[in-house]
Amino acid sequence: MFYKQINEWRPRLSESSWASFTRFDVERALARETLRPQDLAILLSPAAKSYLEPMAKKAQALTIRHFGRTIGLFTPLYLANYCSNGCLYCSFHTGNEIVRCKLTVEQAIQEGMAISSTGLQHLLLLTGESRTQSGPAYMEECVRALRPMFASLGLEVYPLSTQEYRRLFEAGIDSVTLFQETYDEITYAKVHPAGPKRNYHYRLEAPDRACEAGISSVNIGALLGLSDWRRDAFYSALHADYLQRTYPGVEVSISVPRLRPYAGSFSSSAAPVTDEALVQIMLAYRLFLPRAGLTLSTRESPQMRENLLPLGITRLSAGSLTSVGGYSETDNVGSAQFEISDDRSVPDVVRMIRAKGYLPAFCDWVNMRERNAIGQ
Amino acid sequence: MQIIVNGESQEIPPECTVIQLLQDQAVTLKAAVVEHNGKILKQEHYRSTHLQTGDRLEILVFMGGG
Amino acid sequence: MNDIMQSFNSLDDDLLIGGANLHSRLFLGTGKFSSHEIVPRVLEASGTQVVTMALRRIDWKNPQENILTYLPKNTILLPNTSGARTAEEAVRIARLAQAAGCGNWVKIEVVQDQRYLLPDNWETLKATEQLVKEGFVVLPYMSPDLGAARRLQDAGAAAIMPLGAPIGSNRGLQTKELIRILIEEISLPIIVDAGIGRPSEAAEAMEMGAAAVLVNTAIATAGDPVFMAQAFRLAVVAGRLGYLAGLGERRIEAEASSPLTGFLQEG
Repeated sequence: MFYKQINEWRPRLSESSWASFTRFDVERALARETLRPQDLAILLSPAAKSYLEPMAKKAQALTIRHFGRTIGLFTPLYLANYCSNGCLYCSFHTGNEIVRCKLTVEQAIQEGMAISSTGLQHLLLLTGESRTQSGPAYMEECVRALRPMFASLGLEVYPLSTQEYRRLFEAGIDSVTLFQETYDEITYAKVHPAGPKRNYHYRLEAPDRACEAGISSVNIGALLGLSDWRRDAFYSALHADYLQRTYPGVEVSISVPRLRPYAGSFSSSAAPVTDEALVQIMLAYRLFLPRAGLTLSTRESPQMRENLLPLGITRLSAGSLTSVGGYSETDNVGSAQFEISDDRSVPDVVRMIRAKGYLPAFCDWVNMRERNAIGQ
Repeated sequence: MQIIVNGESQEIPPECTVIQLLQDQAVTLKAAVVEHNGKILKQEHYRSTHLQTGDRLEILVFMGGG
Repeated sequence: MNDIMQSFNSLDDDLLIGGANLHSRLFLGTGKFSSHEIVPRVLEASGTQVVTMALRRIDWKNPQENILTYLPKNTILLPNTSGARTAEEAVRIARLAQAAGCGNWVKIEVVQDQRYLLPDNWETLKATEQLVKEGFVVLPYMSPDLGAARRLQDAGAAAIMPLGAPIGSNRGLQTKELIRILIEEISLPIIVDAGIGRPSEAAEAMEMGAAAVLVNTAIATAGDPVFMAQAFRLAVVAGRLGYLAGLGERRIEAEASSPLTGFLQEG
């Protein structure tokens, strides 16, 4: 299990060890064809800051070699925002007085139709953590209803058991997104003071359970800025590497979400993730994991998304809303999880991607298994 | 009496033990491993194993190989 | 040169397989030598610690002396299962070799194709599964295929021995790209077996990160096998040091277009 690797690396990632890397270490790491975990640490260290341009060149070349000049598009659909967790950084926080609601299956279909009409075929379904309001049975109902409209359905919800993942896989889910938020156990305990999410290990091992249940694509990540970003970026990439090695048949992707303003007030004690730091993290991910997907959400501004695109991004969310409902004319609209920075429409995002010399892909994978199941 | 050694039939005297056969054929004991009717025969049993008509013996030695 | 070998010898870089600490990363085969008498001198010149041999029906008309009597006492014996065409035959040969006092290491070699002598990965996997259960230290000789290597790893193999080119062909690392993938993806030691015809090719395999190489024909059929054994010894050390030192980048990219990270300096 991956926790063993965290334990092995923890004593080697102190402040002084980050500072001990030199320009020569960075140059050697950049010269390697395949990077070791140690090289990943070097590329995340302060010494690599003055090598962002050569790192970017290599990252771009690697990405084009492995993925071509294509960018996969998806959009999130929030099914419900009831939540029993107390995550200090999140609007859905159980103590926040926000508009709580969940979509009925009919409303989910309305939303799905509205999204589908924009041409998008990859949909990511989200809920807050509430087993009573949005349990696996509710998810399954929504999945079965939405399945005929989309080529691929992903799930970003609280960690489930292997049997629950299996059930949703059978219903038509093919990818699972789950962020550890932070790999630092102390910070993790601090920012998750209440609710089932306090269980660090159950969350850490959720991607393993999803893979074992048959899910063919997992997307992980840390909420950068919650704790020391160098360590969290290091463990995120090492976690992705562990998943790639343990489940060779699974496509592993990694996201780079930065802490965003939201309804409520939380300020992290960790250093903020500057634009420069975000670029360094993305490039280190790409160089260490040449064949991993890199996902960028609408948390980032249009300008930033355009600039990051050629550095190794393979998937973008487009036309996103983080409220419950809102795509269609349904009147059931709950509060948003975070402020999106890029509120451009799908056609605008498509134009931007084309202008950068890339091909926007509305569909790069079709879950045939489920199409067959429907025909039966 | 007739037995099969390494796939070929061979005439041996009656009451012959494995160790006598090996000595007759000038095979040093350390060199060989013997299979008797499909089962590996341990060295300590060479002396006590009397061969019967129709027995199949495989006598193998180590050769150069890559 | 002695200085270099000495400093290499003081490196803490042993190869761990089957409970053994191997300082030499050159495995030697004992086939095709013009006489048994030369074998001990070749082994000494090569510095090897692991030696392969084969089990064969005795030739009554021409009883050769057992090869084992020519091997130094502390050598690790790695009997191969050459001649086996199925997993069952390989398992039988392995058991016989063990009964003959060869220890519990075995190189699985199952070959049905008699033209190119390419191994049958499927039968090799079945034999590996069985012999691991019986407590052998199993080193399967295989066609470099990632899926097969993963299954061999899961079955409990102690190392994986992909071929560089057909046995005895002296054609070098024809399967280089596939072996590179095995080195990257498989956590077991990868030992390149078969095809290595020149010291430079042994060095190339070691530079890539192979854990060891197994050489036979190239040394046995050389004009002077003792010299050639020495050459391979040095080549393996050279390649290993090159790997440990970290190779420099082969620069292939042309001059860059506009900078990719320029936006960080703006605004």
